[in-house]
Amino acid sequence: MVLAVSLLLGRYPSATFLRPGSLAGDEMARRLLWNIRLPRILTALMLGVSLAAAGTVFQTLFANPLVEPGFLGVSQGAAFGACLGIVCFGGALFAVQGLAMLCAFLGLGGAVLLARRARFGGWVLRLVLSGIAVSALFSSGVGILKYVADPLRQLPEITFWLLGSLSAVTWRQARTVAPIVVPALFLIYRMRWRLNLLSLDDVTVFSLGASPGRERAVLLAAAVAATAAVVSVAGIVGWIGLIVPHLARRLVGADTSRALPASALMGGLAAVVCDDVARTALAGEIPLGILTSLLGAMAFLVMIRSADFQGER
Amino acid sequence: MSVPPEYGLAFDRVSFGYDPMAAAVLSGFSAAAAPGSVTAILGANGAGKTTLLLLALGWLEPRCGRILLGGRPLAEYGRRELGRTLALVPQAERMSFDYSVLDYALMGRAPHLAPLAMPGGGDRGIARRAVERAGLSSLAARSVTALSGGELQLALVARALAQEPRILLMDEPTSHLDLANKVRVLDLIRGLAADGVTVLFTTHEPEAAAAATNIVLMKDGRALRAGPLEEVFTTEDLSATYGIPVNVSLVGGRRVASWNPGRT
Repeated sequence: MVLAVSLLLGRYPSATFLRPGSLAGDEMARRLLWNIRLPRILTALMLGVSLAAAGTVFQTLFANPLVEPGFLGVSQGAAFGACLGIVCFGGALFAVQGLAMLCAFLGLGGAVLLARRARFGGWVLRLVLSGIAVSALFSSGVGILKYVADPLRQLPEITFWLLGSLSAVTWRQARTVAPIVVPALFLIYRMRWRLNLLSLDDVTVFSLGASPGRERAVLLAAAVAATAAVVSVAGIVGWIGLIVPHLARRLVGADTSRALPASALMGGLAAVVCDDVARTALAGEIPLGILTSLLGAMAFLVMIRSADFQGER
Repeated sequence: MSVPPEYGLAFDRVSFGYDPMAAAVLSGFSAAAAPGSVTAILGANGAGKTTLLLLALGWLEPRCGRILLGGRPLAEYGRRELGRTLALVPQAERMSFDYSVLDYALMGRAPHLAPLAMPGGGDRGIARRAVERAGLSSLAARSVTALSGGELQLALVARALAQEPRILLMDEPTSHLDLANKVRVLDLIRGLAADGVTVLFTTHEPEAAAAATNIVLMKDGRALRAGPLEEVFTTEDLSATYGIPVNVSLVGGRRVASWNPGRT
């Protein structure tokens, strides 16, 4: 399946290569392709696959079709880290990316710690509430940073980052993201049937000889790690992690052994296509997050209006 | 294929409470179910029946006392081993995604698979037979979210059958079923017992309990009486269990409980 994905996506460089593809003798074109487009396309692929796969994992684990992978403080944590890098370190690439990743994990750690301390509700409710609280803290931090940022130099950069973009991606970013994303996705892929069990009630999961808490924690950690890694490079790219898992379930059914690969495939395709549009449609760069939100919202509208839409609950 | 081992289930002076400050839900509870027997736990609402099943499952741990499966303490079983030994049919289950009935039954194969393994053709065959045995063949492709309450209860039974347990725990297995399905499930229980499966089910309905071979009467966390149907399913014992006058009579060789309206 994974091989099929990469084969399928192999045609993208040439499909969006607007000048004739036979110009292989052109040194400039080869460099452009190898040093700029390929890492960017690979990162877009990792971004889409990670967000969509993590979205499927989250929605299944929480038995809630409204959650998305960034909600446990991950997205807002990364946003805060990136803004901090832009304001305090003048936007140096390593600082922005490093701080984004650091704060993404900090956000998750805070949410989980808070959930453990909470004294009421089930595990899922506590985790969701803590995620909301941590996200709110970080987004207020982002607000403060925006307020103190230099409106001419830093504010545009912050805004651009928050809208999500892959324009700054080179091999270096792709190389830092891949060692986290690939093993995490591999683990999720291997556990794709077992994921089904974990959507059931805790007592039932237990009666099936599984350990609900531990197995959920493993899958959650893998999903969040992949999400945090890609978000730290690409910024906030919304809707892929929320809508694509729904579309995949509608296409191939709820069984996650089919829905998870389908979701990952569709997420990867969506991100690569959106990024292609983002960099080719206009002379300037369109932030990727705008496109995914636009397409995601449109897909959502079509989905809820179509006659055979079945509620997930 | 060798004959699978038979497991009895025994509670040995088990006490349990959800809240350490409040009174215990179960105190000094002892009862035993022989291998291949059908035991009904009969009692009023809130008597501790479900708690008893969750203790047998290992989900709850007793404050003191022991639970023995096949003569071995429950605490010594590993997670997957326990999953292959015991299955639970809960009262109801919240379904969040529209799995087909067959996909759902297939989940019962989990304890027989390695953590990263996928179910194979053999597992699918077992799941399909479990769905047939639960009487849902015509609904095998139907989404579990589109089932009626009674059909869902049968789907839960199918999932537990696919698990091929040696001990089957059922929580109010007939509560949502119409007469025909009630008879089907009670016949199914007797069929399983004939195969050597030990069945323990809770019920608040005397008519369902009368289908068992053994009865445990529960009241306020204690086993009021435990024994074979003929000895325990009596006018005095049922009246004591429910706290109202209940009359047990023999109709066509079967024990039937009746009551007088307007006497409470």
